[in-house]
Amino acid sequence: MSAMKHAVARRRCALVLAVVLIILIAPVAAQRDLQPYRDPYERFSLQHPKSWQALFGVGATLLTLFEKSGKASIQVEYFRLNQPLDAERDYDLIVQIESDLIRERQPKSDQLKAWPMRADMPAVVIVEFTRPGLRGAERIRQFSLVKNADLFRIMCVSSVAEFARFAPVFEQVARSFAIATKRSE
Amino acid sequence: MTTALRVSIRRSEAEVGVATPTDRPLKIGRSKQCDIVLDDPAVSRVHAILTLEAGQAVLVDQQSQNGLWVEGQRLSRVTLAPGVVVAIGPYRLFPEPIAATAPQPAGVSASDTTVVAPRPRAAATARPEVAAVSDTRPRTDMVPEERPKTPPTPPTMPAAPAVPKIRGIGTRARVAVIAAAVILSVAVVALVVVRMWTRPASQAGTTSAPAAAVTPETPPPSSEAPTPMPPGAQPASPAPAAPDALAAGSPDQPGANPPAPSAARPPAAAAKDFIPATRRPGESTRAWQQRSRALTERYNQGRDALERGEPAQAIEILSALLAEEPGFGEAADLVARARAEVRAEIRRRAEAAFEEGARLEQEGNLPGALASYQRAERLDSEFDRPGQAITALRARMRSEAETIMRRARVEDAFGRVQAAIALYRKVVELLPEDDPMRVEAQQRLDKLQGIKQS
Repeated sequence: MSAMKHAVARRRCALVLAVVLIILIAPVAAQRDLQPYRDPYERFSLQHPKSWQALFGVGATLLTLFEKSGKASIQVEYFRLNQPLDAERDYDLIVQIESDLIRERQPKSDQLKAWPMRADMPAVVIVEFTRPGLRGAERIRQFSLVKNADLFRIMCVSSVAEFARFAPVFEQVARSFAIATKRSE
Repeated sequence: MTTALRVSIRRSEAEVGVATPTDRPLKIGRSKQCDIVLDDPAVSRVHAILTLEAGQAVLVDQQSQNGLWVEGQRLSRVTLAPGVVVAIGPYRLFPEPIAATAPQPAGVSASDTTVVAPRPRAAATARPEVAAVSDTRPRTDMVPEERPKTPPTPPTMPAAPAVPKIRGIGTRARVAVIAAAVILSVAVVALVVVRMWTRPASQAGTTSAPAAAVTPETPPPSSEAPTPMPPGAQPASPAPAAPDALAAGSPDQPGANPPAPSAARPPAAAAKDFIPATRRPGESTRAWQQRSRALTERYNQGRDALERGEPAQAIEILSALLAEEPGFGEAADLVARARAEVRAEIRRRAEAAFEEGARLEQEGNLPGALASYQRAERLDSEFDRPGQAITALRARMRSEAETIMRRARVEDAFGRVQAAIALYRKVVELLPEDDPMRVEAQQRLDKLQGIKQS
């Protein structure tokens, strides 16, 4: 009798461990399962999870990626600057201005923090903030990439609760983002 | 025949001789042969003749170089009368009624001879030669019957200051005069003693006894004397000019004569009235005098301007004066003083501008500070602090302009027009016109302002 009890308990533990492993390993598996995206006008390219849906945009929005459950999204925007900038030289000012623009355009935003370019990825400026959304508070991480007079913004959005979970995906997509050489010239 | 006039000859206020006009002409001049010797370079050898014509004393110029001057006018012939002061070089001839003068030595008024007697000298400059020579040399032109009346005196004998030498009066007369003077003195002393003796005790020691006692007892002036005038207001006989002014031959003094061209220039204190210019060859006395007067007036204007605190005007006036008459008065010194004042004033202004610049720089108004420094530098090129400050400030402005320009470019790039315009303006203010960064900022500014307006 006791042997049977022990066997049941072992099975339960194994199941819990399996569930835990699945939960932990799932994003990594998802990262591995990326698919490339190339802008139809050859302005940029990136990689996104296969499970995410890509939607070609219009106007300033070039592309929108949706997580299948709708808990996260990534939006790629493009702006033509009035004059070319040297991102390496002016990154500190771009940090300030991007922060200022968020404050101006989204007055209810808070917990804003910004930091400059990181060497291992093309992003010039990363700005992160929280804003009220339709289904509660949203956390946004914005990657701003400047090359000459081209400004690309990768807006990564999820609920505050889920943000930590999707953060690696956001970073993976941002790392894979490449401005087309032809475009930047 | 004589007239009721006597002519007092003075030099620098000191009476150096007295002459009484007679029918016989008296030569006046520098020559020892003259009856009245006036030993001065400004006096011609035979300068003038004093004589009587129709009962009037007349002075006639003998074509002298410097002439006879009455109230600033040169005359060839002067009818003498009380109040008519005739200038002969540095000498002044004062006709005076005989009755109005001080008591004359006995025999003077009665004498029909010319009298040239020295008075006690009032100043050290009084010349005894006038009387001594005139009095002692043999009078060859004298009427024979008059000659015995003039006792010859050795030429080397000096004139006695206390005992006037009177031509035609002998030793007895002189003794009589001295005796009369002694008696008069004793009488005065006695009178003083009597007054002091009879004065009430309460008044003792309150007044100066001799003066108070003598004055009331002084006999009233003769009825023939002219109406007493208040001191200094002598319309009939102008007050003698100050020695310095006379020495300078001030033409502003009535009857004054300009000095000889060779006369030394007076000190600055007296130069305000008249400063003689260097006489040009062939220039007439009148023209020279007028030119000197005009130059003196301009000199005074310049000096007054300097005293008023307007050194720039003083420099302008006096420099023009010196260009026309180099070495005139102390004009060169005054110009130097005025220039020093101008320089000091300029330095004061430059320092004030510099301080203003430093204040503005401290407040962060760099363009304003630069303008103040530049103003200080323009005001005083020898003031080195503005130059150093400008160099440092320009470097600072350049550095700030670069920072602002970078920000302006980013703001501009992101389409933040308002902020970009403000920043570009600052860049334009900070940099000089030819700076390429400023040119770029101005171009962007123009473009953005055009966009904003449209």
